[in-house]
Amino acid sequence: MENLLEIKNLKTYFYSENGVVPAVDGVSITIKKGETLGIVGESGSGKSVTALTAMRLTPGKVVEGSINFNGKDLLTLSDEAMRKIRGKEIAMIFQEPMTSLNPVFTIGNQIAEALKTHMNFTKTKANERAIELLELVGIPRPERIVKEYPHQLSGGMRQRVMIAMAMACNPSLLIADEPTTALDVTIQAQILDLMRDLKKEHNTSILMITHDLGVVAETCDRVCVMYGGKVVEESDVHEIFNNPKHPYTQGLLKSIPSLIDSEEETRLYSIEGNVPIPGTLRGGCHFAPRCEFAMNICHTEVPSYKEVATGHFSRCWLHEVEDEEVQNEANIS
Amino acid sequence: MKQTLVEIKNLKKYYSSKKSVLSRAVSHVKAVDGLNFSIFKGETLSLVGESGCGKSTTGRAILQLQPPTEGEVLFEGENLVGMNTGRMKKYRRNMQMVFQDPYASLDPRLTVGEIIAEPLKIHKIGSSKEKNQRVEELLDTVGLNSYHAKRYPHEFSGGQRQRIGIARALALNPKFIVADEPVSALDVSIQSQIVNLFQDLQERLDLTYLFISHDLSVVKHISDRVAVMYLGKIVELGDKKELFQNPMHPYTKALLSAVPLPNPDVKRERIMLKGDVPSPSNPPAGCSFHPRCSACMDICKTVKPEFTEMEGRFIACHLYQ
Amino acid sequence: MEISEKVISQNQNVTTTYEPRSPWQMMIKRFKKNKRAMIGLYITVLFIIVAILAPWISPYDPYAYNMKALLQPPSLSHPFGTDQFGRDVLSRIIHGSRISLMIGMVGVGISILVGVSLGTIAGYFGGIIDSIIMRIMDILLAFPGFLLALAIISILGPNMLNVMIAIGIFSIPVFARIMRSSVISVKYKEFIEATKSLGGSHFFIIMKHVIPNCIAPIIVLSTMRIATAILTAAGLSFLGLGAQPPSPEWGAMLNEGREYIRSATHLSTVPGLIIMLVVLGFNMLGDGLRDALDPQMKI
Repeated sequence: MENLLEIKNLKTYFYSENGVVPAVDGVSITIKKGETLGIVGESGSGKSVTALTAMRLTPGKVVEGSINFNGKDLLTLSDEAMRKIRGKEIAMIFQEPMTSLNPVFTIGNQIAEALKTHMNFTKTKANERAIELLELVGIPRPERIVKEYPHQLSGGMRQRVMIAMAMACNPSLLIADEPTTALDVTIQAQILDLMRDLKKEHNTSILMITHDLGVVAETCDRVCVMYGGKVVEESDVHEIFNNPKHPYTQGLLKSIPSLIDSEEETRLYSIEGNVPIPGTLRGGCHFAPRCEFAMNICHTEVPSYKEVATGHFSRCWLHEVEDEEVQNEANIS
Repeated sequence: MKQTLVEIKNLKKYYSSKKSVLSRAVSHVKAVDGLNFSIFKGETLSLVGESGCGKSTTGRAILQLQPPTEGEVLFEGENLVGMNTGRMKKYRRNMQMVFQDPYASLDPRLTVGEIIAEPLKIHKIGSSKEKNQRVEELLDTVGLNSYHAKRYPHEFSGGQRQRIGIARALALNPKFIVADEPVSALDVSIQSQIVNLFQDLQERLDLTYLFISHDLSVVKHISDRVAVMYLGKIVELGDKKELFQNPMHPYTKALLSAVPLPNPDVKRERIMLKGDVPSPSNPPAGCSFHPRCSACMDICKTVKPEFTEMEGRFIACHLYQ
Repeated sequence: MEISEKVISQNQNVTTTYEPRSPWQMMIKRFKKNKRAMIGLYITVLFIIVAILAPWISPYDPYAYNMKALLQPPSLSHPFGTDQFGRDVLSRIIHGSRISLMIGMVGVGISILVGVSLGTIAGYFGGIIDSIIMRIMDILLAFPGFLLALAIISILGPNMLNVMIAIGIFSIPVFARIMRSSVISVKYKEFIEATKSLGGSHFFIIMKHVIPNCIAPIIVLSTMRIATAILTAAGLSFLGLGAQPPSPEWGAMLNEGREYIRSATHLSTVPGLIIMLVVLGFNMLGDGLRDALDPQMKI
């Protein structure tokens, strides 16, 4: 499959009065056509900043790296050219649909606006298409909804409208930043279902940013785990869940209580310490202060990003140690 | 026989608002509409449900933070509803609350020590030296250090702030704690720390919890019994293990099946609910779940199902009557 | 836990030495970075020092007539010149700062005391009490401020005390409104609910949590209102309704100087410029305080 988006060694830094905050610190990810890539991480891991940088919407400064989208380097494009890509070829949906919809325009108006600017639709054609799109995202009575205002809709409905707007111009990449976090589980199930269907139908690539491992398991083909501004592990979704290599991923998976296991766990596994505040991290592996396997080298030197199995990458000093052991054993025998 | 600590009888909380400035017509939002259940000593009872189902209001109505419209809340046999302020203040020592938002629940202008000592100050317990000692003790209990007492809330992370909130709730040695979504604002890796803390404290201090949450996997881990709420009513209440293994009410079934599992290899049959939760100001007639229910019968549209007991499980559904 | 604490504190040592910082300390740090605010602060502080030290630093008696030096332009011996009775304008300006400062402080003090109490009660308890208090405030607000002060003075009679009362009354609704809206935004915070669940009384909650968390906009507003008060007092005196001659009130001086505007311009320009400088200083200080406390504050 062809690569649609290639982010290479991206570094997005924030400069504030308290110093430099490396929010994204050397992130490389690729998304293939028609693929859903999940970025998992906790607050401050840099997952949202990575996505916003790809849209050139971050207030931070890109210090290094390149973002290649369909053969164009997004970081060097003119603002005008970028505006054409935004909304048309790359669309984004956010966690809180209410803040991304304009409260003083009707739903129909807002969808039609996107169609008029990007697709040069006439007014009547745009309105017709708006109704079609609302129907596509499963909104009942779309002819009536187009005339309503955002506050008249429920959270789930608003998120559907956001998806309809995002899909309006048939983008090749949809960036979804915690799209279901503000929604209830039964509504979340509906929205995830909808996104899956749309992806299948239109072969859209999706960049799914979330902290919910359940959402990842359900929707993604491949997963990147981020911690402290770096990708620490990346693999196919089955590998990540069945055979996690990085201690952080392992800890994260162990610390969520299971809904289906019938056996009783008395105590949950938990990763000690606190989620690091961006900008307070210094040298070495960022996870080292909380890692139960941390060695001396972990605190001082950044581990390399290593392919531990085909298509499975992990950034941990343990892999080097394991390699050495294998080597030693081979030498002995 | 288990000892009942809190008994809730026909608890109702309505919010009324005038439809318009001029008209006399009043509309009621039935946030909590006739709850009956008991909380046993030493157990964790969880209230689960989606936003707007009235689970948080229930917690606050039990603690009399929002006085109930109707019904009784018996704490060790004493009815708290309508109790005068002076007596209520005494009862407050027995029951405390842990809040959802670790950022909003601590006064930013006070130091952590002052925050934790506040309950002691309100109830005039101990000299200032004893208070300081108690604060140190509490900080230690929740896994923080005594030097944290001099700092301000903004210097702490979400998980640490939640620990501070728990320390404050523990200051008066309560018997009963209402925890309103105490882990949902926290990062995944921090959630399990706090869940473990809740469990450790329960064991050490013999606490009883009413655990309000929308996160079913956390609920399954922490509770002894679970009550599922929908539109101001409990639709199903039962032992945790049985309820999760064999949900009976169609809503419970749908809710459980909707949770995305962190396991890409498990494929489950998902019951997809149609539409949204109706507005609690205008709930559907009959069973309030009937417009979204796949097993809806004619009777469901007109007659409200009773909340009845079946082999230790309470359920409000016509299918089982 | 312990490991991470250690590492975090190590990290903080790299950037700054760690010490607990209260919200106030952080505010002061932000304030110091703001040049305009610091200029405002210097002007204000200078003004207050001058007012306090007036009897010791003024070169002449502000009331002493000197028939040998009438209407003299600024010179070395009289930096701001002399007036029609030969009184030293600099000395009068210095003594006048005491009057302006007192009117500003006492007037605004009255408004804070009454306005903040009313606003707190209205915002915290709501309902019918809120409606009654706020409707009265609306009525007061319906009058243009200066006219209201004029009306009060004409009822009470023109003297210094009445000017302070008038100025106090006309700022009450402004304080009440700001206080009410910040109380409402604070009272639904979870930490208030937490204190309620601990058994804290309304009085305890108001004194311990509500007022301390609403004080920031009141501080900003007071600073700016002192400027308004000084300006209004000067305006009233200019119309002959405030401080009466021979008191060296700036507005009154401006009025007296009006007659000689052609022959001795300094008599009216000097008090005018001083009023402007002080009002500017207080406003800049207020702006700076707002930016340091909370840039999104709606004042």
